[in-house]
Amino acid sequence: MNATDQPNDPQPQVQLESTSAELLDQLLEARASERSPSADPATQSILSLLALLDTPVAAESDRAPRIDYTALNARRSDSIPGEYLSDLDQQALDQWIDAGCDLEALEASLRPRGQALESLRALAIDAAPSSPTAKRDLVERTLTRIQSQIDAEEAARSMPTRGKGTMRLRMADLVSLAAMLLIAGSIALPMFNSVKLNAQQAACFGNLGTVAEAFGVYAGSNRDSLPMATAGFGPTWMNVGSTPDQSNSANLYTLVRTDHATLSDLACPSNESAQTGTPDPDAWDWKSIEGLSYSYRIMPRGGLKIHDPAQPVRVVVMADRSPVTLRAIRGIPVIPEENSPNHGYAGQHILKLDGSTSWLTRPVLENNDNLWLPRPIEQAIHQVRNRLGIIEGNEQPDGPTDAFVGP
Amino acid sequence: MPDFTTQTDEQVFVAFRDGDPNAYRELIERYHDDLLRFLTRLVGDRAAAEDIFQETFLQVHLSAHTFDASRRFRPWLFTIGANKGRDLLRKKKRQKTYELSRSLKGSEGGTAFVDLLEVDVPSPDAALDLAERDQLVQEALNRLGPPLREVLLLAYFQRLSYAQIAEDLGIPLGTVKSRMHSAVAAFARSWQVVTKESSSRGEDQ
Repeated sequence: MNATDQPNDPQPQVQLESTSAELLDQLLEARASERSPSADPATQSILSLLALLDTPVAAESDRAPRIDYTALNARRSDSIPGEYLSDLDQQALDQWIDAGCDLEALEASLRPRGQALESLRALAIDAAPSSPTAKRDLVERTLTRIQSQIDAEEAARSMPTRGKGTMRLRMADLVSLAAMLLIAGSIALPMFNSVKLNAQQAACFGNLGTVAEAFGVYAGSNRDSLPMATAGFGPTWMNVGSTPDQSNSANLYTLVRTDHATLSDLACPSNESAQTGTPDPDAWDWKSIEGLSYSYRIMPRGGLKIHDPAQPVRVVVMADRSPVTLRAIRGIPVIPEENSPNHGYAGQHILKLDGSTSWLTRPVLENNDNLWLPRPIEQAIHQVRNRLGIIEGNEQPDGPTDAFVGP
Repeated sequence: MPDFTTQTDEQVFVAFRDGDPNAYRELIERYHDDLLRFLTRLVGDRAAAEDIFQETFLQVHLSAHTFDASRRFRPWLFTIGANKGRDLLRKKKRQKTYELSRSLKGSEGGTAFVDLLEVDVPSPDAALDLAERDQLVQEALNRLGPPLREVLLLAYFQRLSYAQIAEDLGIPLGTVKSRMHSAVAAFARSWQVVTKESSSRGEDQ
């Protein structure tokens, strides 16, 4: 569409040409004196136009007025071009719709037009089909969202009657998970100097743009695939610095190994231990998790295509390094909502499959998806939180042996 | 997990409302393809459509008690989806509409009557590049503007009779017909234009 076709052009001043104005005057006069208007086509055309003004305003929503306005545009005839179906097409469409889109129900003479309607319909409703994985993913995300709502409703209902006995029972089942959750709402961590932080954030943001381009170039010469070093993992994907089949970071390191990016491109300036310089030609991975600055989407078996129409384009492929993995490797309790350590725990950059980058002040996407955790753990956390809640200040030690201090 | 295969949507919905968690999964899976396609076409963006898909089912959950199970579930679901889609378009204010009052190429100089037999539409099973066709169709639909796009998609996806559409949208039967006539004509013409433009681009390259 060229610039002149933009629909935001200012509307030109319009005036009735003299004959139409005259006809309108006659019409209004005839109406006022209750005389029948002339039957000539031009008068009838104006009558039709005016009749639209009698369309009752629908009370149920603002939808009808908007559509009627469009219909008005569609019905203007000579002065403004519109699109109309031919009479035969209108007949075919009406019969076809009323027959529930059954072609056989159309009169034989109208069937070729019905075929055209069927083809148009197929055009309108066909879209790139979802892969079974993408379908499952959306179904699960939808169910998670609804379950969150149901949990919240249940929590709200049970709040006044929640007793100590219930808590103790749940604690017994869920003590390890609950331990890390109760501190989530109140954690306070040191912040860096904000000016320095902003400069580092900007440099880090630049890194993500460079890496996005590198992903694109890599995919272009690798059958649309994102970097992948191994077809699958061994017992864990956390072992940075070990063999490629045990570390998801080795997949990201493929960019360095194949000269699509440098170590510096993948080093966040806020990470003082970030590995930079000339890479070891035999290396398959960063030397240690401390030297790694970015977390990469855990690669499914078979990898991830960059242009797969069934793949949600907003899937996050890379982010500032995960604090959850760091804590897990160090054997300390994880905090699901903790921000990346890269920027003083202030937030994290993310890079999505469509190449867009953004800064999140919480590691949670709009659809409540936590960057650092797989969905089953997120669901478990959600349920625990709704049942146990966060400390409210009226809890008591669970007997004489229970260590419990505050505030 | 209970077998819902022989149950109607309305029966599955009632099972969900009665507390069967598997029933909701069944409904979401049943409508995944149709509703997601409808929403993608309506808002023109797959990722946004996925968000609205989730919001639609969340709304179904929130409004479950208001649904009269003696009526059909499908139109109710699609109407909720269309409302959510319309809210999104309004919020983003990025309707790249192509008003019907604006002339499309090939129809300058007066009212254009579209004869469907003259529109070159590939048959449903024609071998076309799916991604390209997908893009062209979306482009053609975007030119319609949201109101016509909505009525076209609702009618096509719901496969309802005019009378049913009129009842669902709360508008007169004649209005439904004229909207559909306009929508189909505009879509056919848009399709002609975008395919012509696309082949011109191809020849230029």
